[in-house]
Amino acid sequence: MYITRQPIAVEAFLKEKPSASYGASVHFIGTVRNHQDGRSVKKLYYECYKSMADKQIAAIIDRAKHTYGVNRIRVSHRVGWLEVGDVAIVIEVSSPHREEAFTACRAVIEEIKKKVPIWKKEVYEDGTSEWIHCSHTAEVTS
Amino acid sequence: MIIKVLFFAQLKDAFGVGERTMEAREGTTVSEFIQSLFEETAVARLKGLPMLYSINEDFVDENQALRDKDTLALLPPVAGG
Repeated sequence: MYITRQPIAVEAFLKEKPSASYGASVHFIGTVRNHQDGRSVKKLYYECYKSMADKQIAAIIDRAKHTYGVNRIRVSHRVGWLEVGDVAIVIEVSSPHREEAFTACRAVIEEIKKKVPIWKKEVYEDGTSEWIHCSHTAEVTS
Repeated sequence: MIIKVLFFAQLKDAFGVGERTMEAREGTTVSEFIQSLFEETAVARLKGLPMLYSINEDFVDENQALRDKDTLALLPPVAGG
């Protein structure tokens, strides 16, 4: 649904136009950078608990629509092996006005980083590799 | 009762598999189950790893009791996006 193992077709994603009633579309494109904490990154591997990740992203989208009053949010997150420069995630938030679109887009990417079961292993130029620890703030809902 | 356990990232590396089917006593909580799981030598070094847990794809508290045929996932710190 939101998770793909295929390269993200960014141009096709951007071409899909929202309704004429929306005056603002904010896009976030996350790519693989070549460095992390002073180390040269060669490539990385995203592992995923796909069924749960899709559910979590759907919940994040619903919350953001409700909280910020935006009309349309699309997300595509790539998993598997990615090279430096590859697109890892694209997000589109569309709404009648720009302010809520910017705010909601920022909120969506921050929540995805904290709450969606996706893990990242960085492989460095020196041949070593490491699972990256980000924050861990998911809410327990039951 | 039978529990399916899912491992990801460094836990998958340490356990050597992504999934295991295991037996558990009726009423066992997530934390009790995890405690026995981490007694295995190969994964003892990861005992202090901060983790979240999900049962059947919903986040749960570690005091949650497991039920027959539950799928328990051990979720190390995430890093998507």
